[in-house]
Amino acid sequence: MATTFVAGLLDATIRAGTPLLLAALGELIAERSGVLNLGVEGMMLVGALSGFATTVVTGNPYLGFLVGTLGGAAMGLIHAFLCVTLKSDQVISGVMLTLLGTGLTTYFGQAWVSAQIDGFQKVAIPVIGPELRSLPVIGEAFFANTPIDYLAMVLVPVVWYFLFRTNLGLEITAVGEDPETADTMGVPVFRLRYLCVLLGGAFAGAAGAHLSLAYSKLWVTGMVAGRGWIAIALVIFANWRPVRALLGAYFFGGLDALALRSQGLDIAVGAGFPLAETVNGVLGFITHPQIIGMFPYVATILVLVYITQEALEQRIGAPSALLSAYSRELD
Amino acid sequence: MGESDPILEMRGVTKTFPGVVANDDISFSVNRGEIHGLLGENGAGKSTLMKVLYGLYSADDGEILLNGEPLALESPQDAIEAGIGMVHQHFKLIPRLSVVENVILGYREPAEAVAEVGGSGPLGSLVGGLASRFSFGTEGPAKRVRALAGEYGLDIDPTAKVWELDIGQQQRVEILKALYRDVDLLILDEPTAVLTPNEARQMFQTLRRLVDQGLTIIFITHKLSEVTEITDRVTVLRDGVRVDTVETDAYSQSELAELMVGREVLFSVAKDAVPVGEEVLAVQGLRARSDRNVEAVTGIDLTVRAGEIVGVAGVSGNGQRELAECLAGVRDPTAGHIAVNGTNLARAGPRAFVDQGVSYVPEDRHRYGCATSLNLTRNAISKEYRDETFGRRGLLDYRVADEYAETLVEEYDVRGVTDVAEITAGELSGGNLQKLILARELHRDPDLLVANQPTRGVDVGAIEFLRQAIIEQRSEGTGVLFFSEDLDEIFDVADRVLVMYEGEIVHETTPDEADRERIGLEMTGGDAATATGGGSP
Amino acid sequence: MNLDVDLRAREDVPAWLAYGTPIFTVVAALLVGGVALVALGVDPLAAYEHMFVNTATTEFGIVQTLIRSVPLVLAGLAVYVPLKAGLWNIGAQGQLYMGAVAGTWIGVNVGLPLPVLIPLLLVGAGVLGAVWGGIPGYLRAKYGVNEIIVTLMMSFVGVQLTSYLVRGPMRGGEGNFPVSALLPSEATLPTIFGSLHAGIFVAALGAIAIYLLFDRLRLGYEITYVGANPDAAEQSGMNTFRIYVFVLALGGVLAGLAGAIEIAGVQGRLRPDFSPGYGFTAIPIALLGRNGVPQVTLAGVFFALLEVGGSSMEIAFNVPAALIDVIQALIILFLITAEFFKRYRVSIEIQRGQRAGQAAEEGA
Repeated sequence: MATTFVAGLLDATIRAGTPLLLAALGELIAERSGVLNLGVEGMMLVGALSGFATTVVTGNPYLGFLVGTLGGAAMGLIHAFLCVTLKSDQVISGVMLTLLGTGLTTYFGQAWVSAQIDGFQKVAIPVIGPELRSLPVIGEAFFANTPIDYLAMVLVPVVWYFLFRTNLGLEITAVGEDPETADTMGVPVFRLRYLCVLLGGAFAGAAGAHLSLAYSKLWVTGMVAGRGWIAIALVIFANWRPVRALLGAYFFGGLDALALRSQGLDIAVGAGFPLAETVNGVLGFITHPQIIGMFPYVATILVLVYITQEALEQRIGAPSALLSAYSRELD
Repeated sequence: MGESDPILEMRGVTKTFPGVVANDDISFSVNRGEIHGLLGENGAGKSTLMKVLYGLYSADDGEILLNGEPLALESPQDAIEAGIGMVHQHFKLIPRLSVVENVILGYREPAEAVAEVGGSGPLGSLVGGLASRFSFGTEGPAKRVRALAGEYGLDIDPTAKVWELDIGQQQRVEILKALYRDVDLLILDEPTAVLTPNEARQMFQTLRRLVDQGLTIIFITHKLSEVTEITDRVTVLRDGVRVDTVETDAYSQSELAELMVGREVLFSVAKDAVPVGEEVLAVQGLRARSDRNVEAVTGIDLTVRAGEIVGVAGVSGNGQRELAECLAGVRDPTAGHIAVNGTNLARAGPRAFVDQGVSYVPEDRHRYGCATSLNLTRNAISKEYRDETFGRRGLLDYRVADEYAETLVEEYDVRGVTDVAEITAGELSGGNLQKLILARELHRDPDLLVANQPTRGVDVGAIEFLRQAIIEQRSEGTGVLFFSEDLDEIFDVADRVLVMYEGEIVHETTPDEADRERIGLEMTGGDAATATGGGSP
Repeated sequence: MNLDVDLRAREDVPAWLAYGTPIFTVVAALLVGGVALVALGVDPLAAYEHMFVNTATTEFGIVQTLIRSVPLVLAGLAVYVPLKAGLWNIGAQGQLYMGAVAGTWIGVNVGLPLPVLIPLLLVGAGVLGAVWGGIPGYLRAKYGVNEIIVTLMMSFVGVQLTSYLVRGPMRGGEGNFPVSALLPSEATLPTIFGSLHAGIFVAALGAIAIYLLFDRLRLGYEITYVGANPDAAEQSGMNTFRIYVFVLALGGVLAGLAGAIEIAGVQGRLRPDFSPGYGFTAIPIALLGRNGVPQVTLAGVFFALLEVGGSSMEIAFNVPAALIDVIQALIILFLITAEFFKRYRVSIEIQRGQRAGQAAEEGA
């Protein structure tokens, strides 16, 4: 019984983690260039709805996924224009885009609420997949997923390589640390920030499309349900590093899946255990779905406090120029 | 030095900013393979001139010839491509990245493996473009950096993160950035400003090695000792104009000081004799660090009495700012005592100093002296608002505050003010803003006034007023300690003169007894004993 | 053809731009919203007329607007106060929830007569809200931790905590529904006119109190100064640490009050999702009213009008009230864009063909 539970949990973890991972990767890229995007939630909703609607109309989930990604990118473009060109406050612009995305998708989404699609099905990895799929516990979880889940996993090393092993990646890091110095060294600051914010929006749109095309295969108002905010928290939790974002996404996804399953769970220690009543009380408390739901946020606060300590600021921590608009001081 | 073989010629370069002519028709040339000094006080125009050369500013007039060819520079990239490199006073380094990463930033070399693929032609340039953006090898550049470092005697680990390095090493990274890009001419902007004397000596060795390898160097400084130690020739600037270009060996330090500082006297201010009272400020053994965590105040003892004005002469950057901030409670000293009216206030925080009757005029008036977006009333009361006249028990009556501001504006001749509640501090001109700040600090009849460069960046009319105001305040019994780069100002205003250099007081005198040339020397690190001899090679 | 865009910082803002901006942005937002209405086959003029006229001229509309404006104005002030000190309070939603929790708990569990119980539960709400805001304030003051993220995180923690409490320790409804017990009549705000409850007084008092804070008190002066230049404030002897903690705690108090009033005056019991985003709507309200408490109040009432009108429009035209969220977002979008044009003067020159070279010289 326990193995079925764990197997089911793992399977759900991967699927729950994918949208978080996609959105976090995008937000990570944007923040590394110095722009905070608080509009992820709205962009994910736009991606989810536009992807879903396209799939309903064309019957092609891949096309839907593409449109969803583009929808997110379009909103990212607005954010880039406001923050980089108009040098507006990044917080205001981001919150506004979340409001806009939420409002637009609720408004236009009414018509699509009862539509149905086939969406993305779970597939096994070619060649070795079908065999591995039958492995106990981890078989279904790791070797039978929708194409987008695999895409998200593959994107992690791709983003890692882009940020840490290319000249552009080096320049993006420089822009996020000290745009003035980067500018002096000939780095195209504005263009790079545009690129990164656009990518952030695109990834968020893709994450939303995954939700409506692979995770739930339907559209419901507000279906992103706060995952966009978790993705933002996840970037901090992962210390702006793609591999840690992967781990963090599955960790948070796992918590989400656990929360759904924990109602039936009854974890308790035997009566002989010292302080059994108190321990059981605490266990009962922390396995409560809503309490589990709090963990990502509390964890993020703790991580943030930790990395803001000055001694560590140089080694880890937020890009130094995050949230600052850059304008070249002319003569 | 032999025949003149100019690698660089600047002809008739002029650059103005609103209200000030920074470079006025400057012409000079630099010979190949020499270390050419650019000497002048702060504000003489040295930095501006070099920023024009480096493509950061565009000159209003004049031309630049490199190896006989005219240069059109629109950005630092153009300068680098022409072979001109610059090591800035404030390093342009990203602490979180490694040495190699900082050096290659923006250079966009493709990884070695990809570099040869594709050849020339459109496919080649496509591949090249992609490769330069999407590939990256640090092994190749790291090897090159290590080789360069070895060649020029710069001891640096290419893989170290910049935040791990000390200032001297960071400066070497800056030099490596230029060398990596194959420059022929290297400009160094006040390079020893952040170094200890030991590190400075090491840097000079580095410079000599660079020159041996064929580089030409322009060395910007205001320190005479450096000019005589390291330069072959030196161009002296004063107030935006080139005074002369001379062979360093042929001139004594005091002669150079004279060229640099000049003999102009601006005003003579009337001063009554005022009886001097109790000690309001007694400083003992004070030490403090700068923001870059380098020791900036290296052991200061001084006293100021009620009714006396003590002027501290010195070029800005020798610890004046850190000392002034300690005396206003804004910075915590690392050692020593600060007694205001007998009470030790070191490390007590700004509020304690304000309450003890200390007033402070900071060097950077926009950043620390006022809130530019707020109106004059709110700026005027920022030191006195806790007083009962403005309201009791936590209340603040803005009408009283407005009247207070109006009084300040009137008494201190702040111009351009129609309504103190409407005009913001940011809308005032430099001189008027400074008058308002000084008004705010003096009107409360402080026991001690600490002022750092109080007349810098202020128009002539306001300067006279400000100096007069300070002098009058001493009749009220205020003790004044002020820092200034302007010797004329010090002599006009102060009762006692101290000279500050590299964090210490190196000389004390009075205006009557002072030898101006000696002071000029002490201010710039010249050695009085060797003043009349020549420089040493 | 050559496009030459020239940006120049303005010296001062022309009057028509400064005062006209709020009006322009609202009109522009309504126009774009009109497009969305047309997309769903609705006549925008009719819809807007219903939305505004109906709401502003009927007794029901006015009362509902006033009721709705209570939490919006309070939450708007909860963002406004820290903003004056230069801090962002993105967590008003969580503070609001915590206030509701405290108010509900006290209302349900403490047996006291109404004149004592109501103030008590309001105080409790304020205290818990203050804690919820004070924690990020402390972290920011002491460690420099970014308050945007911390208030945001704590907001979600607060919502989750409420959800947990209402399903567990504080569950009280019949059956298994995740709601709290119904507040007794002693804990219910008395109504003064129709369904308009006494919470309107709290909101009004709150607005007046904050106005006085910034108009009459030394503390308000210090807050403003710290927000304008924290370095200069430190040098003048002001205690930025205490101010940072104070403004976020005060913001928490205001938001907490909003939450408690919503339960005690309107909903009667605590539900897990009782607040439709007041804490986030508060941000645009504070922005629109950035120049002063009266402006924040006006913005809050205006947004309340929009929301009430939106609900009635939804019923009358079968159009989702979410259009209001869109319009609110668009108002902010146009506001930020207008900010840019207030700061810079843009001149665009279009040159054709051969004259490009000459014109470029002149335009440079």
